[in-house]
Amino acid sequence: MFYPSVKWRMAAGAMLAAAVVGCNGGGGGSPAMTTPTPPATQQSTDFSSLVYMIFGEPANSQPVSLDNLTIVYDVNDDPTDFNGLLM
Amino acid sequence: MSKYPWTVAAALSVPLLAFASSHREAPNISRLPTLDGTDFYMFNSYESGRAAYVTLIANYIPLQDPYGGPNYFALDPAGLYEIEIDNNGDAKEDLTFQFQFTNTLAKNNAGITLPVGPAASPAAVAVPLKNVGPISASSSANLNFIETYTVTLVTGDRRTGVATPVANAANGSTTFVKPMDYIGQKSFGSDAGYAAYAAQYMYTINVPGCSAPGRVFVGQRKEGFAVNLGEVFDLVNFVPIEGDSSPGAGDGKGFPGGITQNPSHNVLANKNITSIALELPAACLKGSGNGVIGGWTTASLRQARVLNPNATFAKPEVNGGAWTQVSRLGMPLVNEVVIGLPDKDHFNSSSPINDAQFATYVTNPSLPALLNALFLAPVNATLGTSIANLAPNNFPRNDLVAAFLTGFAGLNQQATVTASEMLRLNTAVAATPAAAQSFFGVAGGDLAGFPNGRRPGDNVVDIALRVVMGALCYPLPIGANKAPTNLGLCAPANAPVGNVPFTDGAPVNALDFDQTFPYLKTPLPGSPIGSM
Repeated sequence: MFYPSVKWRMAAGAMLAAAVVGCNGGGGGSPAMTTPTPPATQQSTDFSSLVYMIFGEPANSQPVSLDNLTIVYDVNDDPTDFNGLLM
Repeated sequence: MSKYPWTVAAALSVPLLAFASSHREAPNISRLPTLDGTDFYMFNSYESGRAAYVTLIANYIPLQDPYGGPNYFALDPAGLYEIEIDNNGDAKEDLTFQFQFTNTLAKNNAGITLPVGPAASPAAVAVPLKNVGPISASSSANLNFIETYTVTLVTGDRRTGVATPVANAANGSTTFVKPMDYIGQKSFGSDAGYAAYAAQYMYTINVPGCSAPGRVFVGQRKEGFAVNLGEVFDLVNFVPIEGDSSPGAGDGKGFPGGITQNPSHNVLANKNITSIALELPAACLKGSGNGVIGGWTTASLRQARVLNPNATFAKPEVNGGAWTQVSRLGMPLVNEVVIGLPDKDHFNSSSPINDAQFATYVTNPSLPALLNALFLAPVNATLGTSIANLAPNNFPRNDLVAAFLTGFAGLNQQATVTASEMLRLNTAVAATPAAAQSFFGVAGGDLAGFPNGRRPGDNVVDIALRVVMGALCYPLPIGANKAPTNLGLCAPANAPVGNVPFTDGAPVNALDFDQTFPYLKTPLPGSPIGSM
């Protein structure tokens, strides 16, 4: 059924457009009106741990989010053991 | 009355805002050119005898100067290149074709060496070049750098679905060769010599779950996208309205001072590109849906990278962690001139299922406002008019939103509609032979063209320019009798220049390309000077 009536198509188009705008909260479709997301807990990790944590994830896992993450870099804990990072 | 009235009209609105496709379109991806998707084509194959097939072409590595030696333009062995297909309308990939590349040097990664020194005791010294002599279809012995790749089909989620290797139908091998770039005519003899060399790396493939074979080719091609790029991004440094009475008429009877069609306006004409091309039976792509498929291409890197302080050819770095998407391209031009600068990198890392977050860029597009700022005074002065604002004023631009995110009922809308940005193709629409194609696609009465998929010869720039400035607000000549049809999306009063023939003056059409897979032409040679 690729070719329904003109009126149906136009109505569907308008509805879809409205739906898209509406799903962003109306008011002209501003994404700012989406359901508020609770602020993420601020996390802190040292650089070395972060590197090893990310490397330890398999390719098909979800990327580790760096949002709200404070990275502490300690020059005395620099992961310079390149061979140690070979997975 | 045509059976396609709404279809044709609505289709005009798909391109949105446009100037260049997706070459270096976002800050982050401009740092990663080997992973930069530049154009994505998806169309019903129009090569003779391939009526039941769909061609998918994902182009990468923008603005390649053919003379870019000595390393030329290999794809990234650390990258994951993908072509995703949504065939049920849920805005999630159902089929993903994954390409991964491996680079090796001749002689087991030692590289070709030459004896240098006294005849009695020469040193074997590795050469610094990727070839040490002529290369032909019959011999690659002089090639010092070999790019190979694998193709994997993932059914379901691209990260958690079922992955199966794609095999060479001739011998069952799952490793394919990407031909060396077109270094120049001395290395390959001639354009025909390079074409013959590259053609041997077009493979017939067995695709898992597919009863008929497909074809694959990955290699350098002549850039097919046409755009007046430099002038456009210099605050549109020309009058973007057709200066002839019709494109190519040469009579100067169009808009006073307007740009006219001239191939010299296409500054990409002397560039090459790298294509990842698939041709697959339509039946294997459309799944259980209504025959409309959505497609896009992405590139990803592993999330972590540590540079090797003692870099070698084999191991300049170590990569680990999850695949992390850095490039995304479906419809042309979207991230180039629709998405705002703060969100371009985010768009490249996003997926269609989450596209509602970008809706404001479509409902309230900024480009018409920019064009108004640039051209309001000159237009009024030239025409003796007193137009208050060139940009359409129907906000939110639901005409653009509906078209952009859903496809068009009756043409390329899936049975289940999830608002999302991707290129949509109705596999049931018969392909139009190259000689009969309209570079205005559906707007030119050619239902097999853009935005019903996208072919190399579709002039998406000109179509988009006209639509963004309000072409849909005017009755359009639709159907066999060309009856003016009011779409009801907006009114002429909403778009003071919606009926103006905007153009960048860079023509393109299907006859600029080959008429057989992979359609994009043999690349330009790196030498001799003047051959590009």
